[in-house]
Amino acid sequence: MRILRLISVFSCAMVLSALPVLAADIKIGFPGPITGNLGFLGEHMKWGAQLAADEINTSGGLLGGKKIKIIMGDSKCAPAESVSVVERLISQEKVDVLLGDICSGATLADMPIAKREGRPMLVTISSHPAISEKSGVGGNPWVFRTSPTDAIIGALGGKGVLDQGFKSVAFIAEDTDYGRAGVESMRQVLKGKVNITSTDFTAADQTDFLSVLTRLRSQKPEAIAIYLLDRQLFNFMKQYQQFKLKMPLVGRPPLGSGLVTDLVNSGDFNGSWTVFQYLDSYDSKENTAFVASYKKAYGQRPHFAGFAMYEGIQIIAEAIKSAGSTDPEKVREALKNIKYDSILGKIAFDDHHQAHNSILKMTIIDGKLKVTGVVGQ
Amino acid sequence: MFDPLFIAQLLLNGLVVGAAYGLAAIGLTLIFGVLEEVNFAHGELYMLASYSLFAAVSFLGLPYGMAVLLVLPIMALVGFGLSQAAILPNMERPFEVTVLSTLAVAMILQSIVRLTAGSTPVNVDTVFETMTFEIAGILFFGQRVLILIVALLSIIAFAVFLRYSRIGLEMRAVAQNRLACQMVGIDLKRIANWSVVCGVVLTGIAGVTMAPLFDLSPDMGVAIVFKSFAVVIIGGMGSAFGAVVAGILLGVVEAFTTGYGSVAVSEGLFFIIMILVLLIRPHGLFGRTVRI
Amino acid sequence: MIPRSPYLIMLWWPILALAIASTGPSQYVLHILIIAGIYVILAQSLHLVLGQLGLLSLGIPAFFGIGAYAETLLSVHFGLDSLLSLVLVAGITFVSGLVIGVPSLRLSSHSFVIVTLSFAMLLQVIAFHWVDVTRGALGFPDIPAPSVLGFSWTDKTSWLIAILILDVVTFAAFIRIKTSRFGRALAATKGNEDLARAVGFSTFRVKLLAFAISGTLAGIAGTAYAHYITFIDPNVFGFSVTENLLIMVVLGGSGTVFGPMIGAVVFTVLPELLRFSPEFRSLLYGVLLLMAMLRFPLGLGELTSRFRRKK
Repeated sequence: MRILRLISVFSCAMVLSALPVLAADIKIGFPGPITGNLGFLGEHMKWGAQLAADEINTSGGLLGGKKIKIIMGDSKCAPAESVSVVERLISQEKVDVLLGDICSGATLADMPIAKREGRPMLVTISSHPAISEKSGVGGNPWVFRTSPTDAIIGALGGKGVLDQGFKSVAFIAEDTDYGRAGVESMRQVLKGKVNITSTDFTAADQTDFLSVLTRLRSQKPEAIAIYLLDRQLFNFMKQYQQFKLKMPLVGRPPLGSGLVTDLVNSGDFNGSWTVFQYLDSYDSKENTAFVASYKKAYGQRPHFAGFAMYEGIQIIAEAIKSAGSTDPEKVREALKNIKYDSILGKIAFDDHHQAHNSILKMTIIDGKLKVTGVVGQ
Repeated sequence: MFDPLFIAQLLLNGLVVGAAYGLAAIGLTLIFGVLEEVNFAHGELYMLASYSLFAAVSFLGLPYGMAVLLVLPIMALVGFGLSQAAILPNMERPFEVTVLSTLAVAMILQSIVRLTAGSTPVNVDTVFETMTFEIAGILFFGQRVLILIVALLSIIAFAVFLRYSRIGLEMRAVAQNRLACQMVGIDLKRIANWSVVCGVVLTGIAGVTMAPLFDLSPDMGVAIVFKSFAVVIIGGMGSAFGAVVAGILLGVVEAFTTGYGSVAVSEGLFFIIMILVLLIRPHGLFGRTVRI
Repeated sequence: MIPRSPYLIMLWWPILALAIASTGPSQYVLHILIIAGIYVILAQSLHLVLGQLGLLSLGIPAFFGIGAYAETLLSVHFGLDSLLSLVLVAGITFVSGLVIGVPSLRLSSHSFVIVTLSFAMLLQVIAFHWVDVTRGALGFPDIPAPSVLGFSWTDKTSWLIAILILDVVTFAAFIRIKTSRFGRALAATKGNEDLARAVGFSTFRVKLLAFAISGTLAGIAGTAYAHYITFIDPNVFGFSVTENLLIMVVLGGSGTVFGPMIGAVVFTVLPELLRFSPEFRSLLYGVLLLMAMLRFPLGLGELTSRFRRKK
């Protein structure tokens, strides 16, 4: 009876999953964390992508009225799962174009599939330098990236520390490829010039910073360089507040995240700054419009993950338009030569298929996070 | 770095963090001790209590104290449901069945919370969070001290209940010799229900007192479960006192290794200590019958 | 109990897999079959301790991870022939099984569960922090393809064949063990340990050997995984593999010889079919599992008649 039960469930599921999909759609798919620790980032990824697709579809679609369909699979940010998702997106969902995952490890595992199957893949968030090292000339011709690399961001962060004349810095980073690569690039810039009082790599789901903060309170570095993601930063800042510490948070803390807005506004973090590729309060006509539609559709201001995917879809749409078809080779060529007007600058790809969009430096002044510098690459 | 102030602060940190670990594990050790069942839904129950608190505070606008009073009866109901769905039917079956059943409940709870509350982390603020006292250069954090107090009160309440109530007596009896209890007519189902409900409520107490410390997300229960297991094993199955002692022990060791070394070392320590304790004292520090 | 030759019956899986493969399926389908093949080996590993011994070991990821990392290091640093490194890894994981088994098996069954789990978690922490050897969180990308006696492959069809061969070999060994003297000692230990000891053989040694063999199987699965996915990181020691395995072995039927194998295939394919709505998939899975445990605990077959031992 158990077997019968299982068989009937099987059959139902098979039938459901084989439901016909409109052949006229243009399908763009990507892996991302839906469940797991970074689920809320995956949510923003989906929202950003969907918003772009909706905007394009309501204004007439592409290639004579075809609509864009966004398909996201749950990778949990794990490479093995991400690979499964991408395989499925190509074989079962028959997507025309791919986007990269958030976590660099997952994206790196996905890249060979894009090459093997011949589909363009646009990486919009992953920041590991290896991704562009392996793309373009002498490498994977199908992968393109708009997000800046950890090497660049780390160097900018390090430069910011040097510019402010700090003599001692403590590092706190998440123990992932992202955190370690980021710290490494900052360390390269600061070596020999600044005293690094301590380096802590915390588990990605760690929420308790009590003892680390105790040590910081005792050692008193002049600044704390941070390579954490939103959730950990929230917990860190909250506990930092209770410790009544005064040194600024520098480097790349995601101060623009909606999770820490209240903490930023409290005024306890004035002087902290970060280097990021997007801030929702960036003052420009296009951005204000974008933020307004995002908020209207999803009830939250855009996270940079949402912005990155939004622009990613727009860029792909541009490439499809200019290629005049969804043929992978033509879209790839179109991407190679694209010149896209991003909200932050111009996007074009170098010979390693890496874009060099502007990066924002933002500082907390009087309880408000403000853009204090725009660095072109 | 042998600054006495630094050491004292680390000690206090260890104490309060450890008390939290212990408090979180009391519910687990109760079910473990009385019924010999491993409750893999433990972490998700903790998470459910935290989210319920959040809902009570944010949507119903209740102050912290009243919200807690609302959440605990809800947890009791959930505990009853868990007992019916995953514990009672499996009492006479190999305990792996309960492991899987409670694991299934954990998956269900996590999915429901994720679907209703979304993946964006939320947080609960209480008045205790803003209280930070500095006494002789050492910082005392309001919410953490509250946890310590609640943990101690829980042990006392637990002990009183076990010692002086009829149900408590029966629970202790079942923990010692289930077969004999059935022979003298103790209603096993009733005891099982009571044990699970008490265990879940205790876990709920842990959830509502600890929730304000960090942010909440649907997967926050996962980390709790493994640490709680370690605490229960080290402290001894069934001993609430053991759980808190073990928790504090681990908390202090963690605080000092992080404070003097870095986070890296302290992570593995939980497991190393547990393995060592099991080698030397397989029944944990305080044995295995249900007592304080 | 099993009327026909088990060696023949087990061929249902390779035959089914090859049949599907010959219809020219997509890369995705092949991928799922290969993953199922890896889980078949892992299911045997868990079945050996859970089904044959009645011990719930949550430590399978420990050996899976050791196998994956050991194979990766041997392959990347020494470029050994994969058959040779497979033997080496089998040896390493066997010894690890002995090392972990000796302290763990002396404990009560509940403590055993948690200690085996903790060993896996501990190894994960070590993998994260012993950066010089394991590259920590960065993991090992670009693991080279396996090379057996000079013959190498990366395409999925070859991989499927390789995995199926591995499945057949390990399963045949498994059946051989079960029908051997050792297998009977296992059954005796599980049936009534005190009696077995009274009759005169060391049940501890029996359990230890079984545990170590179980570890070896998991380690072998780990080597295949490393070469196939070409990327490993400390998360191979994580709990999600165990979750899947428990569902496969217990629902598949841990009292029977073929139950876990069926479970491995069914429960690798099922979640993929349910992928169409990831948010609901977890919920549905949990409900299915709970219902199954409530209504059909006989998936456990012989386990239900096992005495619950108190220590």
